Amino acid sequence: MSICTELTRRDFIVQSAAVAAVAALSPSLTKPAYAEDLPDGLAWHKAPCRFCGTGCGVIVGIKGGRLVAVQGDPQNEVNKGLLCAKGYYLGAALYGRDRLTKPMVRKGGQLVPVTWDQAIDVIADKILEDPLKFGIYGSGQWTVAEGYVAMKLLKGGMGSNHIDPNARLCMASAVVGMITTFGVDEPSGCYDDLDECDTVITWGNNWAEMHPVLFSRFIDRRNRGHKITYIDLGTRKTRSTVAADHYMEFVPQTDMAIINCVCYQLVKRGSYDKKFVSKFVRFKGSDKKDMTFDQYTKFLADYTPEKVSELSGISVAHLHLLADVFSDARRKVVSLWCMGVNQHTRGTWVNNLIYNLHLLSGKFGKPGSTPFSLTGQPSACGTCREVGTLAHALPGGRVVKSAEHRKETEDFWKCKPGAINPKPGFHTVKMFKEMAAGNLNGIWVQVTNPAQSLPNLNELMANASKRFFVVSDIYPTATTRIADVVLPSSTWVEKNGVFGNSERRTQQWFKMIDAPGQARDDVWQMLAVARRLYDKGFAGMKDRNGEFLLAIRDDNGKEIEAWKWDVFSKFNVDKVLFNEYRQFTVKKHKDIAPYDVYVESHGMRWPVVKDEDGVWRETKRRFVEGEDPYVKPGKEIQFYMSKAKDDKAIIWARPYVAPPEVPDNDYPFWLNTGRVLEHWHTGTMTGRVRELKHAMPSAYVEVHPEDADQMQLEDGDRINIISRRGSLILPVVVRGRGIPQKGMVFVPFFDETKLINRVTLDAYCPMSKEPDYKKCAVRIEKV
Amino acid sequence: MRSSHRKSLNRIVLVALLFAGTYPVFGKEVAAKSVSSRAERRSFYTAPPVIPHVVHGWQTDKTCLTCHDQIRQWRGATSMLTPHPEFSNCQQCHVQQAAPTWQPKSKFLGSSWNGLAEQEKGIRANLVAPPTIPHRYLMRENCVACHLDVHSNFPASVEHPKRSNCQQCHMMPKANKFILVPLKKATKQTVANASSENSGKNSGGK
Ligand code: SF4
Repeated sequence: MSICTELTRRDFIVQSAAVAAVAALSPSLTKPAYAEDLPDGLAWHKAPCRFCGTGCGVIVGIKGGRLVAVQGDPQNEVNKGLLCAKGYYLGAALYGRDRLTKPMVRKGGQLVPVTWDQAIDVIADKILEDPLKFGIYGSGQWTVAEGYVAMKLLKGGMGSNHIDPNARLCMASAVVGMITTFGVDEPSGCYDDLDECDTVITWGNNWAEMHPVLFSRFIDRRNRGHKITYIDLGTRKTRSTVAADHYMEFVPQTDMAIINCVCYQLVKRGSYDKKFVSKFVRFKGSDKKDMTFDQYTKFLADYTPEKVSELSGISVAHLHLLADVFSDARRKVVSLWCMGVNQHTRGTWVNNLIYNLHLLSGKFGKPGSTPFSLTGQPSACGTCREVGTLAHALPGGRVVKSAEHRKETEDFWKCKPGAINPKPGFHTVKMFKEMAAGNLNGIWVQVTNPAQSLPNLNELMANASKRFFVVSDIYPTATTRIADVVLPSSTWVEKNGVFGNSERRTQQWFKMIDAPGQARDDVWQMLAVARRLYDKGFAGMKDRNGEFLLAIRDDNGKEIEAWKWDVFSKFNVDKVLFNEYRQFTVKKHKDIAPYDVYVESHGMRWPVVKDEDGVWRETKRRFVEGEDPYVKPGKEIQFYMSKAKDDKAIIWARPYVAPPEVPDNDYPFWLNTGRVLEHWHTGTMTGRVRELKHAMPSAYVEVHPEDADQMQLEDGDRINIISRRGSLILPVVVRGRGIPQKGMVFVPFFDETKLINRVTLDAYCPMSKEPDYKKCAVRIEKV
Repeated sequence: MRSSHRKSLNRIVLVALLFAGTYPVFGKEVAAKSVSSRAERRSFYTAPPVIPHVVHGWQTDKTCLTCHDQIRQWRGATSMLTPHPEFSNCQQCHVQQAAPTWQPKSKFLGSSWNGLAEQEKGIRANLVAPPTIPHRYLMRENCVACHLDVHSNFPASVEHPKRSNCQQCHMMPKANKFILVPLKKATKQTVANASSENSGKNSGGK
């Protein structure tokens, strides 16, 4: 047995240096060389990935009307040519054998194929029974135009606000956190900060699996010799943890105390950034009353390292280390978080707390220093947060409660004055509870799969088969199974679209292939139903001039019959809707450029404002002088959307609050749930990709090795996981890709045959209404 | 001038022919085998190869590199050398195709996916000219990671592995269809559509 070591890693480095040297000399090697003609009909087009919120750019290969290949786009600054497994298999995800290709309506218990015309009629009639009792449940995977059309249809035309997206389950806490601290939603920093920082801290976040391309952006830098300290604070060891210099494992929910403890130390040491605090920050208590710095100091007095160490399980030395990091004025720190913080019964407060830490230490608005909230879905920002497809919101950062905002929106939409209902609609958990109780007549679900992804399914989807659901999707899912109307949709590059990612980057793509069978765009589906309501004489679908509320007009202002598929499919309706939506974005300084500007770019980060020389210029860092065009000269940092109009951000005194359900004698374990790298959410698309399905075929439960020893559990043993709400039997893995803390089990939720959400809790953050999927109490029994 | 040019060209061809025997000139078979062995582990031409073996449980970021930082032969198997050790989150792109035995299999519902096929060998300007590179090399800048004769199922190996400055002689042909088109070109037609009749629909490959 010989070991061939002809080429060692050192040789490799020498060699790649040589290659790099050649590359540097020859422009054709550093930049892609460009094909003039593509001999056999292969064409490449740009698009953003349709999976996670990272928003990688891909180049899609099309040949003979089919998608045949995907590559990372080296010209896209997000990913610079790299992708993760899901991104590479984007194409294959469209070609599962059981794509939905015909509209279907349930008759006598069975879903039977019908014509589009019939399906549209069934939906319109159901809405007309009582338009105020019909909801729309959408998605952070909606394109901008899809979310916009749904908003206009429901809030502008149907008179209620019962629209909410699945992003309520992932981003709501981030939104409310940002609005309460800065007065306006969405991060100030951007991915470039990862290239500049010397310290990364993740707060309950497994970015190696969930935002892999960003993780690699950091790993790549480090492997090339940059010194970056990585601190992972979590409740479960993950693939991210293996790259960490320090892993700090805490008792679930004590993140609140830990952050307050670091602030306590900064104040006690006098090592906080005094200049930053005095110029840019105010203090408030949770009663919303102003606080003095002294009062804030008193509030922190409870959070000594000794006390917090006892509560959280993190050593005093580690708590000191965190304080050292934030005390060092030269250090450039990026904080990252996602579901661990947001899916939390105090999610809004934890978001506030992380901002407190960065504001107090002045680690804000400088290259490499930023608190950065990661988004889960590809357009949770672009659609749910910016278009505002939430029960309380209107486009462009407006809210239904404000008379001024309603009036502006009614004017843009030309609806009759007073058309928009001032009462917020049902947020997600409430929407499904009201539906279960029979207080809603119907819900139209698009681009999401609530029958698998809602928490506490036994209760939230109770009576689902007796209720009226319309489901637009591309494959059969847990939700289409209980639906009364199933609409086959086109997806991703089968339609035109625009997404907005985690770093405020808006990205556009064109339709490249036809959807299979009779599948049609979600935008068209909404337009067709709206028109049917209009044709049936429903007054809500008429604007103040008596014209169709959702009219689509060409460049000459002439209305086209977009509700007819053959007209719609030959016209870029997306462009019209995007440019119409654009006018909403200026108010809160979230300006986006005209559609055609995005056609020519790999995405731009808003606010995008036209320079004096006519160039559309993006903004890397918001609120920062010299970067954000809305910051006045001389201001340095200006929180120009602050509620008090004092240009200051707020440090909130947010106390530690115990979670609503904690392990006890009857239910002694924590249950934590989440995603895996290979599958997107409920696995309906990635489960149709052979390679991804083989790599990750089925759900499992991770158990800590000591707990496994005690219960004599080995890999593959089956255990029943039982909560007060439901139970599920799963095979055990002891040293799998993650290792939960002692006393915790972890289950991924992608497997549609193993619904862990029958077990989870639907308790939510009182401010953001986002449920906590990361902690509830269970007991486990060997079966 | 012209005739002296031709003379020197003749001399070069003559010298080249003398050396021809030293350089491998891949036949159809070698090329076909190399192409099919690439295809075996790729869903489509530009896909990252899958992992042909089980990956057990808890990993560190160095786990894969214990074998794949070098070319190693062990029990008849040869490990591939990673051409990009700066990216150590290996399973971000490379997914295993054999789940561990404790994990229940589940039914794959079938797919009509038909990815871009593996491509042919490089082109030679003449009998002894170095062949061009037939594929893109983003993430694969280290040519010998694959083109080494230890990979028995991948015979497109180089006989001069010490000459590591590969692109000195092996060029990317100008019209290589796997190299990305620039944005302007990629969207030119569609932009024209959009502004002339606001149809913006790009018919793609149709
Ligand atoms: S899933 Fe996320 S990280 Fe992976 S390729 Fe898509 S956008 Fe990038």
